[in-house]
Amino acid sequence: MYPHERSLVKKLADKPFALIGVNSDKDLEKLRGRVEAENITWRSFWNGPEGRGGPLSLEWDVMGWPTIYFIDGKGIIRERNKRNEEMDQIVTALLAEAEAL
Amino acid sequence: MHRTLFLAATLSLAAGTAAAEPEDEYTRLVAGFEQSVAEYRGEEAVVAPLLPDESPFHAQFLEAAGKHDDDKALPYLGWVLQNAPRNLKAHGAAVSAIEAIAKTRAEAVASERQLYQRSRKAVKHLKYNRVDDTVFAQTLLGAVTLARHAKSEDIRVASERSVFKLTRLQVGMVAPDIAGTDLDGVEFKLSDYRDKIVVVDFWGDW
Repeated sequence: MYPHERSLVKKLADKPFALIGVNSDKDLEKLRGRVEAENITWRSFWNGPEGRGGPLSLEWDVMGWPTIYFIDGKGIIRERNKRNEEMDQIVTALLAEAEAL
Repeated sequence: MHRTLFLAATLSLAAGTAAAEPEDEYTRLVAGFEQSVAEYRGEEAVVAPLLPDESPFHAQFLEAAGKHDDDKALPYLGWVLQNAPRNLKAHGAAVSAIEAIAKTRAEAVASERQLYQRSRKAVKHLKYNRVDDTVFAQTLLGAVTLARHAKSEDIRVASERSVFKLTRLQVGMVAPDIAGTDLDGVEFKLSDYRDKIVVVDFWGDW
């Protein structure tokens, strides 16, 4: 998952796009090490020491990992749970839609 | 999405010359809607375009739902729930109608643990886009019924989360904000990224 998302973030660095994670690892120190090792450049909320039982994933009623939401510039949810090439296609389409406005 | 139903409608229209059965109202309304928004639904579109917030169809489906006070209202309510994500009036009316049906279901939660497991499975099943309108409305009704009537507080709380997901986190809805801290302890909000395309990814390194 990381290589794909890393390349997407890099490819769209100069576009109005952001990948925002909500991380549910319990051990923050260990996680920081992993973020460094994997060169995870995008920002994440931390779901707290309860991990998958933390407040952010509970609020959004996340039932599986990863759970993915695509949100447009107006804050509207446009797609859910698409990965890899499909993720790229959706982001590209939403960027094109925003540019056409 | 409604292609199956639409096809069914087309087929029943074709056969309608022979059989003089009254046309099913739900099928008729859906076919009318599909025709009017054909332009919104290019088959090639990667992301479904947003439907208009206002349309005469919202009122038509709500009116049809209002003729029933039981499960027969569900297809119409499911349509409104899935097609009026930002029409707060229509969406709210559909949720209220579901709440009203749930009120009559108090005794239906006798075996609530089993119902709850079934309800969560149904909610989990709705992880992609649109489903059959009746299925969507039934799933919300199940969650609302448990959220209001279950004896177990845990089940009520968890079912309320299902309700939140089905009424606030569907495609076409304005995403609820997220406020928290990043991995460096710096506070931020999802809404800080308004005006950008944002992919929110609930992830873990496991």
